[in-house]
Amino acid sequence: MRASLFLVGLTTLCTSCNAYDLFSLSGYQQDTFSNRADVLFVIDNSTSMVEESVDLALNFGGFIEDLSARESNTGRNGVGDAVASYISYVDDRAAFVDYQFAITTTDVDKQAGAYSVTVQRGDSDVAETFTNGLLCDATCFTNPQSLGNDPSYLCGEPLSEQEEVTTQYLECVCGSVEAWLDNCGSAKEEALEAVFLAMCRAVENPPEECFDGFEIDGEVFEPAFTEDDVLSNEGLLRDNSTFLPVIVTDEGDDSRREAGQEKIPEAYLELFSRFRQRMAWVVIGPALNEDLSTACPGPATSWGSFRYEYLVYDSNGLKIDITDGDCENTEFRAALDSLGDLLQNLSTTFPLSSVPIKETLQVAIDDKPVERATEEGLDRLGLPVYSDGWTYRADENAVVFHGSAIPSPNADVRVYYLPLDGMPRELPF
Amino acid sequence: MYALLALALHSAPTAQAQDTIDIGVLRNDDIAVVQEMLYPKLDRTEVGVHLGIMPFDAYLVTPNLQFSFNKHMQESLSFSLVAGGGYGLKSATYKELESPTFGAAPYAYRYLGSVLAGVEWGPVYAKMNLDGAHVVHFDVYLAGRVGVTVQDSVIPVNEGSIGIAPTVSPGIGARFWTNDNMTFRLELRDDVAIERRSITDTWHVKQNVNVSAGLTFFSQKAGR
Repeated sequence: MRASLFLVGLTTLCTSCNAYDLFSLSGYQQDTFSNRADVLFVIDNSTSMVEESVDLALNFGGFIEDLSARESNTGRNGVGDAVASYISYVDDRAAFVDYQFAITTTDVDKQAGAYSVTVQRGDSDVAETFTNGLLCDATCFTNPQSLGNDPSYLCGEPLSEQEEVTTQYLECVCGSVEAWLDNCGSAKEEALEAVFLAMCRAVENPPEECFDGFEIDGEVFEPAFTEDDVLSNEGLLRDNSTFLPVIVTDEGDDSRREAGQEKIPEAYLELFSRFRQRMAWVVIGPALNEDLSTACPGPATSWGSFRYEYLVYDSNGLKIDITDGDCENTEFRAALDSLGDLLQNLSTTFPLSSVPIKETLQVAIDDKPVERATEEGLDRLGLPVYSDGWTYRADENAVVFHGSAIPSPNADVRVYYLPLDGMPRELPF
Repeated sequence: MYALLALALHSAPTAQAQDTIDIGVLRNDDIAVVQEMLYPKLDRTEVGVHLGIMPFDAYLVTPNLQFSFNKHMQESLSFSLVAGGGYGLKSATYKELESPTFGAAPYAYRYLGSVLAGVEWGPVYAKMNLDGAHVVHFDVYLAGRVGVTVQDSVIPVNEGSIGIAPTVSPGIGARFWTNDNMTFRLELRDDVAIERRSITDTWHVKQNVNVSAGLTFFSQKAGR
């Protein structure tokens, strides 16, 4: 009798189920990783920026070569090379950043965010097209005498083989002197407005603010964007891409929608969020001292420069001082190398599908748990500095990685959590 | 009809008496009386190795290896020590839940190892005739053990991933003797573990139902 009872009890135990909490899982694996990077160079084409633009042009070819170096190691002959190339692509997508570059200027009155040139990975002459667009349309050459002179130059010789930009080169690639001389922009650099308008031009249904005129500090601004401009930048923002505005300037931002000397560009942060586009800001701009004053003499404002620093911080982007410690122009090759690194490590923010109970968040990369980052202090902007690891950002409902914890593009990133509102759907098990 | 029968009988060979063959003398000690043959366990030590699997969890399937030690204090009662280890693998259901379709992960703990001690009570000893040719000796025992189970969170966790859970383990099993010193042993046991789940900071009862099969080896009979 006792044995029978025991057997009945044992059978009951065996057939009962273990109860488990079901965690929501946001997984980011290779097959969902997007290596698309839409890069918009916003060039300050004021008179003070000629030297920097020329440096950028001279170094851009090498940057593209570096970016494509690993891809070019695979051949292009026949099915075998195609298979090898595909396998390399699947194994290491970081080596295959699907980039496109476009150029606009900080001059909103004249260009209003319209891009002057666009090139994509796979184009046969990416560097040449880009540098020609930069020099011909977005650089403020005011005096031909200040340029190099090389009567022996033959049209078609690439810029990468030249030591300097010469008038002969510009005449070959741009045409007549009128085409490249005096393409100077306003002294009021409005990089943020230019980026906003460029985005307005890129989407089918722009936010209504694109069309609005407005008044700031008693000054009335007519709309710089009309229905005719819709999709004039078509293709600038691709699906599931990261949009990288790269601002190259020696001054701070003076965009029209921010009142006075606002340091944090709240108005533009709100406007950019309307596009629901993942963004990472890159600024090659004025250096700031520890006390947030401008590090080098010049027209740059500290509050305008602070806006850039804030955007870079907020988007896990990249800030490169346009001058070195001696207030000389920075090495643009090194700056572009840093941009290349950023292009290959864009994935720092991983949005979640549901709002989590924060205490239950667990993050793993390649099945290894990652520690929650701790706040280690404040940087010179007064913004938190974190240890290596991850933090949860409630405003984006996303997990953000910091420091050495930033996963490589090939990593299998998984975020586990209990949703605040329970599991969003009934499970069939 | 009768004619055919008479013909058949007439043609049948006649049985012939043959010489007897002497096959020897059967002594008393040559006679093994099955009804009297037993494999005693009293005062013997039994060690064994067993392959097991925990197949009843919806999300984890756990192959494992167990080592057993028994000291038979009585014919029907023994001290039992079982230690083993394994690894809980995600089941097909778990993997399907993890897919983008469902985007879910059960917060389960996988079995890594256990050490259990207790008693086995085997009141049943029986013989079974197999195929009219073999007689199999077997016993059936009930086991009651307590100990600890070491488990690991399937969801990667920074702190508290490994948990040591107090465990009560009832079980039922049977030994099938292959000879005086060796048995084939089957066992079904249910490790009822009290586990703490670190992420949610909650306590749960977890059942690891294990089916195992293995070989055990008895020490020589003492003083026989």
